[in-house]
Parts: sequence; C-alpha cells; structure tokens
Amino acid sequence: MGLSWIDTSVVVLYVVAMLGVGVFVFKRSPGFEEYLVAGRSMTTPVLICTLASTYYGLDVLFGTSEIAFNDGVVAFFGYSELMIGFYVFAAYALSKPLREANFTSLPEILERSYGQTAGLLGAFSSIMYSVPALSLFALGRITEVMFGIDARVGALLLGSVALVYTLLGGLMAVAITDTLQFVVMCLTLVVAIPILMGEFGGFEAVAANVPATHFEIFGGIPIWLMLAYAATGISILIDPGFYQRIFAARSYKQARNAMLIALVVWGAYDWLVTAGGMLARTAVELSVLPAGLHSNDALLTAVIYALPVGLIGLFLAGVLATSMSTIDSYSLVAGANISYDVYRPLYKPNATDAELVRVTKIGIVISWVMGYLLAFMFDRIIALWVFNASLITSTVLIPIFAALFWQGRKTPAAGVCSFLFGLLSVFVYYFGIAELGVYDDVWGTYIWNFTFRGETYSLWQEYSLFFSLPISALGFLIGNLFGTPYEPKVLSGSDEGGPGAVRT
Amino acid sequence: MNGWDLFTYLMCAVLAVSSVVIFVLFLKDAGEIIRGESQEEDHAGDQDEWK
Repeated sequence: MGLSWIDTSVVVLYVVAMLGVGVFVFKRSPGFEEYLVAGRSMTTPVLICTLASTYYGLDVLFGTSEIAFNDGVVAFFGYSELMIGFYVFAAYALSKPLREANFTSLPEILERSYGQTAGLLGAFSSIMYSVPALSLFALGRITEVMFGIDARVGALLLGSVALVYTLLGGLMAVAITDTLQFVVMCLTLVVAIPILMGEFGGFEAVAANVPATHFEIFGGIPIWLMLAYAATGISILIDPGFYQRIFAARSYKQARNAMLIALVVWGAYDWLVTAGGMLARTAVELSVLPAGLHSNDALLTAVIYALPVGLIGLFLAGVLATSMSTIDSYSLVAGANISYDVYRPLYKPNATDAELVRVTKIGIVISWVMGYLLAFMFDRIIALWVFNASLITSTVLIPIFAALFWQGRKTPAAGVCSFLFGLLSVFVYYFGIAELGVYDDVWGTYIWNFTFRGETYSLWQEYSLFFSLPISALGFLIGNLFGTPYEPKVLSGSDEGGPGAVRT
Repeated sequence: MNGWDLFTYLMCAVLAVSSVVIFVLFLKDAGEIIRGESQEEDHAGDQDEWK
C-alpha cells in the first residue's frame, strides 16, 4: 500500500502524541494508586472513552466487517448485539459492589474472601487472559498491510510505543491516550462510511448485488452456536481490564453511567463496521475492488479506495488506535497482577508505593514480551485467546460472584476448589474435543460429531462454558463443605485500600 | 434511500455527536482528573459494607 507523505505524517503525528501523553504523566511521578487506578479520579466521560476503546480492538473492526462481508447483517444482530444483556447486568449489578469495596485488582477480591492461595490462582488466570498476544499479532498484521513491513517488526515498533507510554504514565496515561484514540476511532469511521455509501451506491446497491441472505437477521447460524457466541459476552463479567476501570471511577455511579452510555457508542460503532463490510462486498461484486480480495482486508481496502489523501492517514491512525488502546490496557493489568497480586503477597506484604510501581513496570514489560512471543509462536492465535477467555471465566467467575453477592459461609477451600474444578474441566473439554473431533476450516474450530440413540449431535470447542461453569459451581459447593470460613487479616491504622491493605 | 441507509446515517450521527460531546466533557474534567482529585460522593462509609 503506497501512502502519501501527508497520510504518513498524520500517522507519525498520532504516534508522537501518544508518547507525549506518557511523558506528560510521567513528569508527575504518580504513586501506586495513581499509577494503577488513576487515583480513583475517573469521571464518566473518560470512563466511556477508555471502556469503548479498550474493548473495541482490531478483532471488532476487521472481524465484524469480515462477517458482514461474508454473511451480512447477522454480524450486527447475531454476533455483536446479543451480548448487550451482560453489559447492562454488569452496569447495574457489578459497579456498586466493586467500586465501593475499594478493590485494586480482580485477584484481590479472591484474596480478601478466600485467602492468599485463591488470590494467587486468580492472578494466574488474570495474567494469562491479559497478556496482549492477540492485539500485538493484529497490530503486526495491520502494519504489514499498511506499510509493507514485516509483521514482527511492525508489532515490535508500534507495540513498543504503547509499551513506553504505559510504562511512563500507568492508567492515567492509558486513559488519556484511550480518550484521544476513542475520538479518532469514532470520527474516522463516521467520515469513512458515508463516503463509502456515496461511492458504491448505498444499501440499494448492496441489496442488488449481494445474496439476499445477507439481510437475514440471524443468517442461519445454528442456535447453539449463537448461544455460545452470546455466552462469550459473559467474559465482560470477569474481565480484569473492565474491573480496573470500575476501581478507578470516582464513584460507582460514574462507572455505571459510563457503561450504559458506552453501550450506545458500541451499538453505533458495530453497525457502521457491519455496513462497511457489506459495502466492501458490494464493491467487489461491482468489480470496483478486486474479486480475490480477502474478506478480512475488505473494510480497509474499501476505505483506502474511497477516502481522500489526509483522511486515509487519519483512518489508519484510527486503526492503530484501535489496537494500541487494547495493548496498553491489558499490559498494565497483567503488570499489576504480577506486582500487586503475586509479588506483594508472596514476597513483600509491606512493599512501599515506589517498590510496587517499580515491580508493576517490570511486570508490564514481562507481559508485553510474553504477548509478543506468543503472538508469533502460534499459528492459531485467536484459538489461544478464546481458550484464555474460557479459562478465566471458568475459574474465577463463580468464586468472584459468590464473594460479591453471597453473604453466607465461604471457606478458602471453596475458592480453591471452584478454581481447580473449572480449570480441569476447561482443559479436559478443550483437549477432549480437539482429540475426538475434527478441525472445521469454515468455522475455524474443532467440532466433535457423535450419535446418541439414533440422533446426531455436535459439540464445538466454543461450548466449553456450558460444562465448565456448572463444574466450577460444584467445586465451590464441595469446597465450602470443608474447613473453616476464612478470617481476613486485620491491619491496624489507615485502611483506605492502599497497597498491602487487607480489609475486614 | 431505503431504511438501511437511514439507519446507517442515523448511527453515523449518533457516533459523531456522542464522541464529540464525550470529548468536550472529558476536556472539562481533564484538569481535575490529571490532578488526581477524587470525590467520595456516593461511597462514604462503604468500607463497612465489605465484610
């Protein structure tokens, strides 16, 4: 892809601005709470921006547009919007208990309710989930398409920019850059889609040139698969990055309002990406774009074709923003898990602010390097991410919800057993289906077909939560029958949720 | 122009207006956020709720 100097300058300007934010926040020498939860000072507008930009990575921009290109409006109605119920539940049910208890990290909830072992196990799941492998892979891929440089080099260069400003400024820098990235992401799409509509003839041209099935709301997806995709939305209820933003809110009301407003933004963004994919398909059918165009590259290619010089650079900056805002947020979460949830309880319960900030920075680098290595080590990086998302949901959702909503007896064994039962079940299910089933190239997953009493059934790897969550709940109940309820340690003096504080 | 076109333009308007309004509101709050000022408006005494 040949870029004009104007477009290249816009992209360079964007990168410099991101680094500038990091340097600006670094000069203020933030303490640990400021570094990790932005001093719990975030208001609704910045929370909307950081929520929206963190959860909308390249997987949404190109994944949703790819589905729209191939299958039509089901990308919006069947895949994206079924998850809304989980977001509304999270806004109303989670924001208050999470914010009001002054937690600092997700594993800390387990540590306070079930003791150190459960906290450490939760930290393991959180780190595995937060390592930014998928977003670094996507960033590399996009720099390869945009600038023609090797994906590994592209991920190294631009991923390092996200790493540097995160190291310098912590969550404050992440939130401010997320805000700028949010505006760039939204406005570039708002400009690009109407131009594509005008260029390719709008939806009348779409209807005349794509298969009629592209306008079927649920597009013939198997009901169990649709439920399984909707169930992936459950991960929002346990997402460490999402929790971190609630902890960082000035009040639970600010967090709740931000989540509800973000839903509107997400809905509009989802539809515009879907429309972009369908318009790109129309351009292919009209021979405006090449027939062999890969569906994953369709939106980007169509936008580059339609936008004028200058706006292309802005759109590409928006694409980079989409990826970098995810890399920075999750690197920070994993770094904080390493320092606050592993280093502090195991080695230095009374670590000072400065020590925790230093170890968090080391943790950020470790998680980034792990993400980079994983990104280019595995052929099926998306499968790895799906596995990690299933892993964290299967292992910590039940004990966390019991900690937040169940006032009855809770033993350390309940937290540990719930985790281990969930872990074991997700491993057995994933590798069992991979062993018994066959890989389906069309759906990109393993499927095991079997016959029972004359009926044929299919088990997909994506169905793991249907099994692992009840098994994790069973582990919780069994563990709760044994041992004595956990007695949290009581600290003397100030107990404002700062480092090392264990509350009663 | 059909219903899908109208819906798409409506979503463009929603995204454009909301992103600009949110950014303006962010700028209004930016000073306080960067200074790390927090407000305990609705969780005073909540420490006791976590048992």
